[in-house]
Amino acid sequence: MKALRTPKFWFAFYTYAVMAILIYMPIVILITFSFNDSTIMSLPWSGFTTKWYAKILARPDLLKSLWNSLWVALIVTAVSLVLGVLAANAMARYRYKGRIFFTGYISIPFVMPWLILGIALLVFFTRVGIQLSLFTVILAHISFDVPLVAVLVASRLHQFDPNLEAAARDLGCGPLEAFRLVTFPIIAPAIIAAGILAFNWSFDAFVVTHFVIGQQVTFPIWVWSALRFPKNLPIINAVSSIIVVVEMGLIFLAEWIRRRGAGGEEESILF
Amino acid sequence: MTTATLSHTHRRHRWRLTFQRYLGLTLNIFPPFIYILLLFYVPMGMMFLISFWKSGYMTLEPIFTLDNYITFFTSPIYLKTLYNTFIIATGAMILLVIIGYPIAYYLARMGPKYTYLILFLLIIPVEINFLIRIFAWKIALGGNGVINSFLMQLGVIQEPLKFLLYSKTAVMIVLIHEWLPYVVIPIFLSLRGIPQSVIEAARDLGSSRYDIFRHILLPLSVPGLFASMVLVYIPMLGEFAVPALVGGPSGYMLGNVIESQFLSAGNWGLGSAIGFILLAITLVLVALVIKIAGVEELL
Repeated sequence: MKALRTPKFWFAFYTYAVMAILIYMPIVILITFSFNDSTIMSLPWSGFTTKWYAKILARPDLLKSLWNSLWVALIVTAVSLVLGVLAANAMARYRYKGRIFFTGYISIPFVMPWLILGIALLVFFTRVGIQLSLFTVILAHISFDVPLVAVLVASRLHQFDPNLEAAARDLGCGPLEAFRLVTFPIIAPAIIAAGILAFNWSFDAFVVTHFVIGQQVTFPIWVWSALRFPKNLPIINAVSSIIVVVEMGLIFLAEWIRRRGAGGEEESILF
Repeated sequence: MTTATLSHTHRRHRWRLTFQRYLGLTLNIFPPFIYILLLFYVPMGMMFLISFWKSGYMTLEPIFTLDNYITFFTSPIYLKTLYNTFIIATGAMILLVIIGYPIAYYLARMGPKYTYLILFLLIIPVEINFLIRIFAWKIALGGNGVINSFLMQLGVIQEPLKFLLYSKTAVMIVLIHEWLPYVVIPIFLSLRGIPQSVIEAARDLGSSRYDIFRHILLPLSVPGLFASMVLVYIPMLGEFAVPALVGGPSGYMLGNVIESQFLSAGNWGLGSAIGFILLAITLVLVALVIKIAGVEELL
């Protein structure tokens, strides 16, 4: 058997080992210790419990932060989808002078470090005199979600034959009707996948939110402040485990929808 | 009906289509254009402007000055932090390439059965809340954390390894965890793009496995390498949550200085100036990479 251990075997072994240790180990530890009956997260194992999960419900501040994150992310996703799809249309479906400029203009925020975006928006809101609140958080999240949606939907639109819509127009459709009946069904999977990712980005956004939130609390901000108090750690652990499972579920859903739309031929939305 | 009226209707129809097309384009461009202008470009401009304003603790006056930039470049502490940031990001980048390249090579050139499933599994954790993942590493790396208590129970070590948490090492480990997928994928894509016929030709002409790697695969994967460096190095330079949670005093980075200028020291002018220094370094690096990568392609 030893003789069969080719370079391919060792490369495979190496790949799985790196993924197990560097990528998945902390997540597995996190979920495992959410069932540990102790506030100190170290071995030896102190016994199985689900009490940390029960305690989540006894923390109104935590529930409130989750609720805030949820509705902020829903509004952000809805507005970003509208603006992002419009931008994607302008990036991919029309030929005009300045198209390259417009594409760069929309894409630059996509590569800007979030820290820089966060402080720039803090300066802006304060100088203009807009009170920091969840409203400014929504405005800030939209400004990084619009480029995300635009880039993802535009890449799908690039594969779309514009003659299809032109044909619909020739056959008497109005512009909105042609979009609704022809273009939209084709780009719908990309829009849904972009919407799920945009939701995820907003729900998880910590860096930008940290600067523009003022006194209110979203879930990542709650985690950030709770991390300072050791007695909170098992509860963070439990709620994190739930969110890890839910988020993985959402990603699988997004990927499944996208693959169904693309006939499973192109690469993942995630890269 | 005569041909004249037909062509007239036809022309009017075409004119209407052209008009609707321009109207459609305008309606598509303007809403996102205005939003991004007001909530991205205007704020960036304002930040640039106040980096030249006279600024102190909780004060900011619209008087032009270069003091904020001078303060940064004459302070040994800030320069030390700049150096630290550079060391941590560069160290993590080098390790990322060393760790990630063989994985990309394996996935792209050795034909594993489940290439896309493995890539997918590599990328999923990226979507999990980042603070939660940093917190998970804290549990793993701490003095009485999982790795230390595991190694001590095995008898490998007597004392907990102190350098695992609150150190540059800890920051680098978490950064590697965070960015590994973004390094693997561009290298994977460029390695996969190399036609098999090129490799077979080299093999027919008597090249060894090493020669093929050294003279074909490695040079042709350089664009992917550069792409991953742009994608990963820039955000690592601007990191602040990772050093704040696992870095301790020795792992302090420029991002932490910027954050504290805004949220505790109250010196926004200085904070903005440091932000722009960071941004300028980033842009120079990108330009450099593009230039080198461009030259590389010419060769």
